[in-house]
Amino acid sequence: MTVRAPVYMLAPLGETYKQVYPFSAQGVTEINDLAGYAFALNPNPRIEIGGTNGTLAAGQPFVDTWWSAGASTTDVTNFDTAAETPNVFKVTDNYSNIRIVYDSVTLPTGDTNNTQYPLYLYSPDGTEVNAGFRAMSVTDFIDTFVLPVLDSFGGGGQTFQKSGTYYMTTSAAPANATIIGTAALNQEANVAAYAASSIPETPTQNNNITTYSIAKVNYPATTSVLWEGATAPLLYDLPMYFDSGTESIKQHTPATWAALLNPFLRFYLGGGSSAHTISYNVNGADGVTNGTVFTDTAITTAGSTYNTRFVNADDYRTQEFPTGTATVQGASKAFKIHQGALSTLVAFASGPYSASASSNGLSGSCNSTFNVRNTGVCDATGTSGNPGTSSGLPDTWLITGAAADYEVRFTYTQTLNGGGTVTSAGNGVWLNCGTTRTWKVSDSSNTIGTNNILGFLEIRDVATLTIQSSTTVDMSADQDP
Amino acid sequence: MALKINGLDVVSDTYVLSNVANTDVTTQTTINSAIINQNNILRIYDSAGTEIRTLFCANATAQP
Repeated sequence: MTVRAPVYMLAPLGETYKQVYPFSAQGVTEINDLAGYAFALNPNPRIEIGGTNGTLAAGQPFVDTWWSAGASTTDVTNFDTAAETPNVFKVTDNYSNIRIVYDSVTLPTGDTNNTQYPLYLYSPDGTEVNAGFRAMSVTDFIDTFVLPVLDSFGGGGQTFQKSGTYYMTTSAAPANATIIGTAALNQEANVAAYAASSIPETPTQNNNITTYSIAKVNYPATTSVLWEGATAPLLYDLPMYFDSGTESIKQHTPATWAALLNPFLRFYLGGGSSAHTISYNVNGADGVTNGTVFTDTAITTAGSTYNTRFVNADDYRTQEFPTGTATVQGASKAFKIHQGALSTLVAFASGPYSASASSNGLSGSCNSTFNVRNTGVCDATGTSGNPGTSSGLPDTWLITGAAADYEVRFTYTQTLNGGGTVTSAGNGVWLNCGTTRTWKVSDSSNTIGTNNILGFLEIRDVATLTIQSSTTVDMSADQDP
Repeated sequence: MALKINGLDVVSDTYVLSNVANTDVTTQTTINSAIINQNNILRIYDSAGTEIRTLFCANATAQP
């Protein structure tokens, strides 16, 4: 690893002219603080709201509940009673708007004319006679400006160094950030909007209490300490480079610096290095909360919701309105940022699995049953026969999280040579793991031969449809007296 | 006495070269050689360490 000290132009104290100096270690740190600015111009990954690009952030939806008025009634003789009047009812809105988009990028390896990267002071023989400037290699550039900054993007927060990352906010115009779109709303019934004198009221009359938006941290380059001010001869203290096109030495601007650095950041932070890859989730096991936590509140009924309106002797109206005070509904949900490899949440760690039942020359029916249970365990049951055996089972497939967040698919072929039968949860179809799924091969006939199911078991998460683990399953039953 | 052409000083009484509109190749070479003789060299190397430019600079002693 070779870290170089790039050169830049600086006026000596009290002078107006400028000289060439190498950056100090602090100066290099200040350049590296500008990496966020470079990344934010075209981040990878990026977040989009809605659409079809990328994949849904895991852990959605955000659930917003609110109460609606019931339908109104009319009667020509008297008021319908409260029991006769339709009740207020709870409405649930689910928001799954956040999508994470990873662009497939490659690590830049080129070096145009061998002069693409910043200059540093150089003397091939250590003497001043041959002293001059040398362009960094691409490896020097990575070692000096890329690798040192990669870890600064994780950990959450909205500082300059986090530019190009995303967080959740309730502000419509957050400072140094750009609103990407709405992640979720928290609505409540607008109790004050309902009036008995106006029956029939429109059932849904809501207040939008809070809009939760996703914002991108997006500082201007002028926030950098390298900014010299609009009236300075050079606006930024940035590294110098040799422009082979004009055959001149130039000093980088934020735009040219970002253009040089951004592709490297897009590669490393966008999946090119698992240790540095940025990811986002909602309430996941990985990462830290970034921004405001989503909280769902709703007007919880307190007191009578029953209202009446006498219009005339032939028109008696009733309607139930939401009433009460706002209370928190369900658990909060946090938008999280994570840097690094994701935790393993599900796995068929002990696979391949097998389960067999054989009468071993004796009488008696044989069953070989394989279960993927909603408790997070795979096991073999009912392996009656003599003996009933299994391997790899039982096994805990759900390491953390909710079973319903995953789907299992068993794609198999069956060979029934011994008169057996198969009971199947499905072949080659994705099945939600919130319900225990069972496959069974049975043999109660005296036909000689083995009955077998052999296939490939996969599990994926519902949010991203990404397959998390797989193994083979071999089940057999042979009743052979 | 100053050396004049069409009433304009070309070399003044104080030996200042003045009002020279251009230089011919010989003069350019002479001036260039004078600068080279000062031996103030700035070398530019590419990332492979190959010297790609050798720049001879005028000596500006007023600026340390």
